[in-house]
Amino acid sequence: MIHAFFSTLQVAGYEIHLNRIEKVTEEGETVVGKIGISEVARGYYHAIGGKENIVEVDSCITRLRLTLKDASIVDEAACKRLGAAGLIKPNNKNVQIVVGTHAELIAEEIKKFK
Amino acid sequence: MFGLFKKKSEDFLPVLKGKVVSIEEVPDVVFSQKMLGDGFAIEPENGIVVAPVDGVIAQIFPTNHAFGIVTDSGLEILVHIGIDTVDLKGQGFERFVEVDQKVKAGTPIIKFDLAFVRANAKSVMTPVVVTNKEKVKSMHVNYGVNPEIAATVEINN
Repeated sequence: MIHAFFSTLQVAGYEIHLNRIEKVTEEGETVVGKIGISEVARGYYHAIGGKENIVEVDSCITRLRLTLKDASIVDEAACKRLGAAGLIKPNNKNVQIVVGTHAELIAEEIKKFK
Repeated sequence: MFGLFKKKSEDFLPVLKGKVVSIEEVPDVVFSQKMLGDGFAIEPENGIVVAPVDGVIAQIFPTNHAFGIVTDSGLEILVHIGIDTVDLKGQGFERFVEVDQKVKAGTPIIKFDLAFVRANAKSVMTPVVVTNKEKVKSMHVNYGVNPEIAATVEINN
């Protein structure tokens, strides 16, 4: 049984409280199904440091490909709660977040927040 | 479609001519560590990528280097041509079909310039992954050169 309970989303103060998200499966699609692409994208936008930290947002079919000012501040736990299967950090300026096959849609939404 | 008979398994054709190898050999942790699911990979001899199964094209990346196909039996399959090939920005890739098109196993989906991709991308190795893991009861892969069936997936219904 898939049980995802999404609690407070506080936009004011740019904080997201992903209280009580319980994901029985690892599927990013589950979280997208529960709260929608736009909310998932907003979550990633904050987890990667928002517009102060984002240099470029790109995607491949399964992952966000990000150029950041500082990749070390990425909130990996938040990404996992949003359904990311993993993070890859080739260096301090680049991060790939494996979000699943909605990657292109999520990237497009993140670009709107910038 | 009455839905009375749900397929219990799907046979996957090799998406390319070449050698079927373990997905763990793919030089990209997303595939080799099965982050998105289990599957297999092909070391290609040619550049015509065919549908591995009957299904509907769910997505084709704008640069034509990867596509998703969904079967009636509910498997969601990703085919990713080469590694880091998104960086080629579509050069050397051409699509034959469109999203939402129904295709049969063996239908050509994408054509790519094997020599060009080999020279300009990280790898030409092409993984095929079932991305909805919960549907996969088991997967049996036939490794080696040009098997008739690359893999058989038993489906959880």
